Amino acid sequence: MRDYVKINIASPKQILKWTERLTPKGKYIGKLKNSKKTLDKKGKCIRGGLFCEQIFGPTKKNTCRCGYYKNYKKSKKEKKHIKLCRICNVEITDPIIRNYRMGYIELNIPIINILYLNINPCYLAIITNLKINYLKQLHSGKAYITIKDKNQKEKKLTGGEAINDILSKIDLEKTLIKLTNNIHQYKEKNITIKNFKNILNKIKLYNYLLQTKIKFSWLLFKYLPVLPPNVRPIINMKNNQQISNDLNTLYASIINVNNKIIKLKESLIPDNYFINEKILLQKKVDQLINNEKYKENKLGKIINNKKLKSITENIKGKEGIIRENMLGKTVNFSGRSVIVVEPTLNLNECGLPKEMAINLFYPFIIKELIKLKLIKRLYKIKKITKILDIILENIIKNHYILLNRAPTLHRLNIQAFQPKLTIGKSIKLHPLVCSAFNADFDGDQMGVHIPLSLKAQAEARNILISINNCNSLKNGDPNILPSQDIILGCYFSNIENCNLLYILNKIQIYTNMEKIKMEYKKENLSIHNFIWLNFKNKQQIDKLKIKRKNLIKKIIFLRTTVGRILFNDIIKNFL
Amino acid sequence: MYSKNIIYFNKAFDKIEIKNLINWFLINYGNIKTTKLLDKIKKFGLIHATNAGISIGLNDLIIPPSKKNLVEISNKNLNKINKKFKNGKINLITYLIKEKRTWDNMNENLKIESIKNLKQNDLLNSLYTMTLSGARGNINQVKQLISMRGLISDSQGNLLNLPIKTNFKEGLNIVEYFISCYGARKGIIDTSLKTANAGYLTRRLIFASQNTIIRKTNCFTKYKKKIKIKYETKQEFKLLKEELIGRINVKTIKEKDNNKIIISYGQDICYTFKKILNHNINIYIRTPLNCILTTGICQMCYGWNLATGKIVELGETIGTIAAQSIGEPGTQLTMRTFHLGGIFTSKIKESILSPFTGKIWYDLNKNGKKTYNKFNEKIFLTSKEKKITIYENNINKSIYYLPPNSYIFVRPGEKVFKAQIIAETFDKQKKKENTKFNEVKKIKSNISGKKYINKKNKKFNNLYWILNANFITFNKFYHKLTDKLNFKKKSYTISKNMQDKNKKSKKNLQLKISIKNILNNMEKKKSKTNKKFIFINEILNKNKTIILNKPKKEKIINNKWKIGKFILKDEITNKNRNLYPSQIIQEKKDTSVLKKVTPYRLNDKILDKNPYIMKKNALLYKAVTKKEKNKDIIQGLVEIEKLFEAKKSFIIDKTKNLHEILKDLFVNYNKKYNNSTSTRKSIEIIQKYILEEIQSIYKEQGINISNKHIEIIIKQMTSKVIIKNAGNSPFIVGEICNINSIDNLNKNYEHKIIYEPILLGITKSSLYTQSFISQITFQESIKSLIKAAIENKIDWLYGLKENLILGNLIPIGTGFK
Repeated sequence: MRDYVKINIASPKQILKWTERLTPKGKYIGKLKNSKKTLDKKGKCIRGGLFCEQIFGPTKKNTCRCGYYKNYKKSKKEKKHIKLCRICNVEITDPIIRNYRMGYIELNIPIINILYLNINPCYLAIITNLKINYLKQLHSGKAYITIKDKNQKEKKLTGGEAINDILSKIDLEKTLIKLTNNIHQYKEKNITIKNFKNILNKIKLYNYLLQTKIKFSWLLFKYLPVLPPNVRPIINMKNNQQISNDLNTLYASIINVNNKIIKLKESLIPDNYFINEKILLQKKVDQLINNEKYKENKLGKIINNKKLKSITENIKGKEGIIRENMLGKTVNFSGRSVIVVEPTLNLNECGLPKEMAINLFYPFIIKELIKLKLIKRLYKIKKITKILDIILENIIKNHYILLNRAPTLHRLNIQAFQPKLTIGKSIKLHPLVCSAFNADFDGDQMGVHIPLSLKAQAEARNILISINNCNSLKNGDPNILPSQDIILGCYFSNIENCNLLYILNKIQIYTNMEKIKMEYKKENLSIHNFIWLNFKNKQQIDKLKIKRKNLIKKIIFLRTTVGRILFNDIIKNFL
Repeated sequence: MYSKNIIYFNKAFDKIEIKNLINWFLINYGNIKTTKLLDKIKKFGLIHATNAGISIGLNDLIIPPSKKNLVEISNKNLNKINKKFKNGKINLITYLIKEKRTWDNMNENLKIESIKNLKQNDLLNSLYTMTLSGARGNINQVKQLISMRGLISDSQGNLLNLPIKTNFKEGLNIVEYFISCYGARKGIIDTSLKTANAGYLTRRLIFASQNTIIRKTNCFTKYKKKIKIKYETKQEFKLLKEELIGRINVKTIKEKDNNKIIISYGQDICYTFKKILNHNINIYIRTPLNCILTTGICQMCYGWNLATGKIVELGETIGTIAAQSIGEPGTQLTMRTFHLGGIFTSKIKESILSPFTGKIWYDLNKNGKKTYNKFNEKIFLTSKEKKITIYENNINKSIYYLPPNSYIFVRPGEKVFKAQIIAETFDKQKKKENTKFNEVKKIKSNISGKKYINKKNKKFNNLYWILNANFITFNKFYHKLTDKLNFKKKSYTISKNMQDKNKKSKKNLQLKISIKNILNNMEKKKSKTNKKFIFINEILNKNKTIILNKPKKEKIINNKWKIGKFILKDEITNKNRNLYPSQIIQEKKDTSVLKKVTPYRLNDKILDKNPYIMKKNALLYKAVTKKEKNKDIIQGLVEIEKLFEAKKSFIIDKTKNLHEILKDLFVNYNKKYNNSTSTRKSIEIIQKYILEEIQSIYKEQGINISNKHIEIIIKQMTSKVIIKNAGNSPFIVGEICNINSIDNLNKNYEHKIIYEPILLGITKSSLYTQSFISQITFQESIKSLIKAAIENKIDWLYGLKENLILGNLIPIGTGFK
């Protein structure tokens, strides 16, 4: 079976399953009642508060809150069972548990999840077949419905209670059958395309709802799950100030309002008298989920008029969890420095500062050093410099690094090179790969990454290496091209200089290219000197690209310059 | 160049030559040898560059001596046109066009002239060697240094009519400096503002196509693309080459005589493609657009991987590569545009310049006729090949043969100056011009006066006269009179009513002017004292204004002209030249009094709703002009975005957008063919249109992108259909599905699914098929998250992003299974 990920709406039972735990004593733990969102003076979590150790787990490893257990080591038998401190009821485990363990708030009245109402398409409106504006009025307490009690008394409901009542009366199958039967009639009635599309959308949605067997009451919150404490951290600063995530304040306000409603209910005050509190609870929950729409409302603001960041805002956007943390991964073993040109490098090489190399290849160096039994501890390696150089050189020989320049617009902006250790602090780059990186040397910086695993190293060598990326992707043209000074040098040495000095000179005849080179080295010939080159074979001349065919028989000589002979000599070596 | 010893390159290696050399080397000798060669060339080049020690100084910038001449000539031309415009012979719009054209011509000719100058005088000039070799700078930059900066666009990209005649060596004057600041600022602003847009386009492209990878070896599609082999110019050949290389051939081609196979079915077309061209008219190839796999594309349809020059491997992420190839140059160019500094470049017709000052001669009666062009210039239009000769002296002469349909601007026997434009040739090829925008131009009167349209006279047809006059309200007029009265009491008399009041109380002036009285008084006064003339031409009761004529006395010896006759400028009247276009308003024995008039030539329609009298700077009429806009990559990117998003605002032929055209095509084809083929045929036309349009935008900027990449993105846009009749299938009407999967399903059904093609933008199309996890990473994450939850979606983790989020190995490239 293939792995898959499935998403659906959680039932209240499911939420309790995530959040509630049974202790060995037979007690259920997980419900949050106390709205204390801070730490106490010693920096410990307050019992029953939003960071309660009983509910979410210990903050220190194998240590309980009261200090009865300190760094307690579980025996093998105990590892299978849950172990609680007898005094403070804190479980003794790894504090990583605080990343996952959730709590819940039991809401006294059903609360609408604002996402089903505010986001287009409005699913609540489609399901209930009511207008969106009416639903929004119900949600904010401006409209109400009347129902009859068990005792046949009339009762007015607003908010989540009202919508709960409406949802409970819907029969999905009947409406779906009605719609599907009528679909052909709709065509005849000349209904506009927009309406027809709406009906189709409705049918689709009903189909999905029937398939998934969702109960409509699940669209409302009965139990509000509280995120694990490490997702909404609180930090104790040195001057007794505490920096806390925005979600904490939002959760605390929800608990406060909820507790108030509980008190009012306990004192047997009839429901109609605390409608305002109910609406306030609704608003608080809305703020927790989506705080964007409460721009003018004072409730959404806190000190300095800053809006609190809600859950949806934490998820979406470029800095949200999805794009920041799930798609983008922070990388170890990377560096960054200014680039500098180094013409003496080969095309598959780059210069890497020694300081950077030591830090980047740290684990590899230590591995070698431990193998050689030079050190036992990790941190002293910088003192042994002489051996370090040799070891580093050895490591670098077989280890390619990746260079990356910042706007990574296409795949040529990351290439692999063989590093060469250099003195100084800048990365040395080969001049011909500049066009691929679109780099110049006016202060550009580059990132360095190191492929760690063996597979990654192999890929860097075969696929990412700069000499295997000669052609550009978009049209197959050569990608590594000489530019600027190199071209100027080539052009200048190859040009026919029509200066009188060279023209009036008697042009010498040579048959041997080597001899010309020798003469050039002796400075008997300058680079612009004209030369008659004698070709020995006639065949050679036939294939020369000379347009005037009649003259071929007569020409055995080619008029070139010294520079051209030198340039052709280079090419000749590679043919 | 084939066997070992023979290769000898006897040419100067500039940038293009080196590029060709390396390209040839890469194809023939592979990567490793080439890179070693490159390292050697690098060393050679750097050593010789240092030995050469080329530097650049102020004396290397040589301004061509003919510049002075050229400026003079174009100034002369402009004066001519200006005269014509002031006489009302041409209207404002043609005047502006002509003005721009003369500057463009001069600009272009000066550029050619200056480079010629360098070439002839100093071949080793460092500026010349640098630009010619391609090492540093391009011709546009050199032009700004040694010829003239030329026409410039403002911050919106519109053309400014005032050119910069100086260059950087001479230095700009103050006005020119301020004008050039517009363009310079625009460049800087664009780089910082528009890079985000280009980046966003790339992100969308990547998201739309990231899931397309090479899935299978062959899809066995029966659809293919026909390519006609037809090329005349070098450029067409190059285009054909780019189209064909790296594609897979579908039809075997045999030699006619031997039955020898030239290229067989399933063979890839490589660099030796030229032999195919000699044998066949049409070639059939596979393209990604025709691949019938539901997800991804097959090896055969894709062909070569351009980076390696071999057939793509399985699991290659062609989608991402395509998106990067399209997005990268756009982003790169927006960051680089500021280098040109808003210089306006426009293409001009090929013109022939006179090589020296001398006399021109050609036969007026043969091979052509005399006409006027739209700028009201005398020209000679050639109908056949025409010989013209220019004599410098008795010995020295030059002969030109002009092709048919070219204009000659000078008459035989006329004197021509050096570098004067003699003729313009007619190009067969249509050059793509800069985009033109309709702009409503308000034309205002220069003087205040009365409007007059001469309809009877044919000579002055479509002319619009403004008679020079002043307006004055009753109030002001009265004040004027009374003021003057204070100065010169004796010379003025005013009606009794006013006089009495003035005398009684000078402080409280109550206006009860009877118009008749004023008129009478004035006329009397005129006759009595001949010193001051005030012509009261007309009195308008409604506006309470008086029109005063500004007479201009001018002696014109007796004419038979009547009062009210219009005279144009420079119309010779018995030895006296008329300095302004004017109207005769008074006649005496020997002289006649003239009044200054301004004529305006109208385009076609006259707005008669305008008031009868015109104030200064009042709106005369509105004219629709076509204004050129400098089209750079930033404007191009907007167009590209519209095309890729299939926006309804992208209108073709002024009426229809792409969606409407697709619908029309489908309806038309549906009469002939069945549902499936008509869908595919109509979609094919749209695909071709989008492809060509996008390529043309990129080509304009000198960016060369393989068709393959754009085809992959277009495939995402056009692979969906909307279901009209569900047939036997469980689909709901109105659902959007992949065309290939529905065609596969239709084989099993008796009542077939009927569908229509639709065009989806890249954002929309990417949201239809993909997994919900990759959807929430794109846009509107919360919305799609809730939709997925309600629809109870399952993600099977086929894509890249899903696996990336979950921390698995990505199923592409080396991880492909």
